[in-house]
Amino acid sequence: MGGMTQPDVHAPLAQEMADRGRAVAPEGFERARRVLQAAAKRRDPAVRAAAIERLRRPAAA
Amino acid sequence: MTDETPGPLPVRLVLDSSAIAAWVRGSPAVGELLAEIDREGGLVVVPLTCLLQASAQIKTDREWLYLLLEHPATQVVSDDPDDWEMLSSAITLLGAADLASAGWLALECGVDVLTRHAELYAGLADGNVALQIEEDY
Repeated sequence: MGGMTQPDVHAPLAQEMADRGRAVAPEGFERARRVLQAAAKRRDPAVRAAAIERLRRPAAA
Repeated sequence: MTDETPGPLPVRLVLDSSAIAAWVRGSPAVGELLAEIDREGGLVVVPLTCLLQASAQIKTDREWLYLLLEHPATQVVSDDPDDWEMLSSAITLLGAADLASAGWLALECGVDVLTRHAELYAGLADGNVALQIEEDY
């Protein structure tokens, strides 16, 4: 995980993380974006709505 | 400088206890997701119950806990007392209060729980709430 953090993102924290070897490389941002997009596609609103209803009405489940 | 108050940031992810612990251990995946969500102007929810569970087991590198909580993209969220019945039901399904808190918040916010143990969420929405931390890159 080398490289520099985006320079305009909360510089003190970014610098501290860079100093500790945890700066995020440009490809890391791209990787994370792909993970988040894939996760959003996998989400099933119907299944989630049913789960919420089940939690709200446990006696009826 | 204006008097406008910024609106709430959109929640993009919930961290569970294992994800918090992974961050402290230096997980690139967790760090990259936090950085990307921060860059997008989003918010990562840290459920208080998960923070307590993780913190109780972390003996070294605790400064990373503080860095996580100071991260501009994170926000610690307590369970809402009004949600007690849903949370209780979630504990019944998942077997632990921290899993239940993370799972319920993810459902409520319409996002995923980032976790090292996606299988533990199989009882909730058929596991459709869990995002497994992948470290194989």
